[in-house]
Amino acid sequence: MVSIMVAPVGVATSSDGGHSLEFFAERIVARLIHVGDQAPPPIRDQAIAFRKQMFEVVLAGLKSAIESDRANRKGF
Amino acid sequence: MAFTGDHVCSNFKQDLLAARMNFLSSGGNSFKMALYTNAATLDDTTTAYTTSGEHAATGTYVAGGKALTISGSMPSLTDDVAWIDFADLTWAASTITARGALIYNDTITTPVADPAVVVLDFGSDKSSSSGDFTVTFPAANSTDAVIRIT
Repeated sequence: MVSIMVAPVGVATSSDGGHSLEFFAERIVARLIHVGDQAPPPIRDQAIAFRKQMFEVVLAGLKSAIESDRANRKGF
Repeated sequence: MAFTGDHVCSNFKQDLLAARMNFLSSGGNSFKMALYTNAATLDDTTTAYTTSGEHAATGTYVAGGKALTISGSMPSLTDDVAWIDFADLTWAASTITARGALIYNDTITTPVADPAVVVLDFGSDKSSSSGDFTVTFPAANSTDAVIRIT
């Protein structure tokens, strides 16, 4: 039997300004690394630890990119 | 009338069999997401994009919504599940209150223009105020992706 399914989406909103860098870092990591609920605990724990590490890497990269972009804009 | 949950639009199934939907990330159709208030009547019988109940075209929200970006290497096939994923979509610097959304095909003009794909229910009104309104898609895999064919 063939079924077509649609999964729920999320919505994130902000007021008086955009999302934080942490929001974007979390979203990037969540999209890249999915940890299944049914994964064996040792593997799941390892994956969660890796995801936390990647969050810091992505966050640092985003901060660097913004600093670089601001520096570039000063040049104009 | 209110939103009644997420729905795969019935005509979408027929459009798939008639080869009127192309989700290729490169060279495929253009798909859009429009935002709606809870006054909208959208469910599996929705056939096409409609302005009825759509969020007012004010500020950064334009009637018809925004184009979706299909992630690379789509559609994908994993463990007998074909699935499609979109990049998160943001209305920046916006003041929006929306209860749900419609994904539709912005390329197709016949037999029905802008045919509906899926209805998305946010569960409650979501609001941004001079800020970002971001629709976030689930993980891109065969068990979580937003649209899956099993």
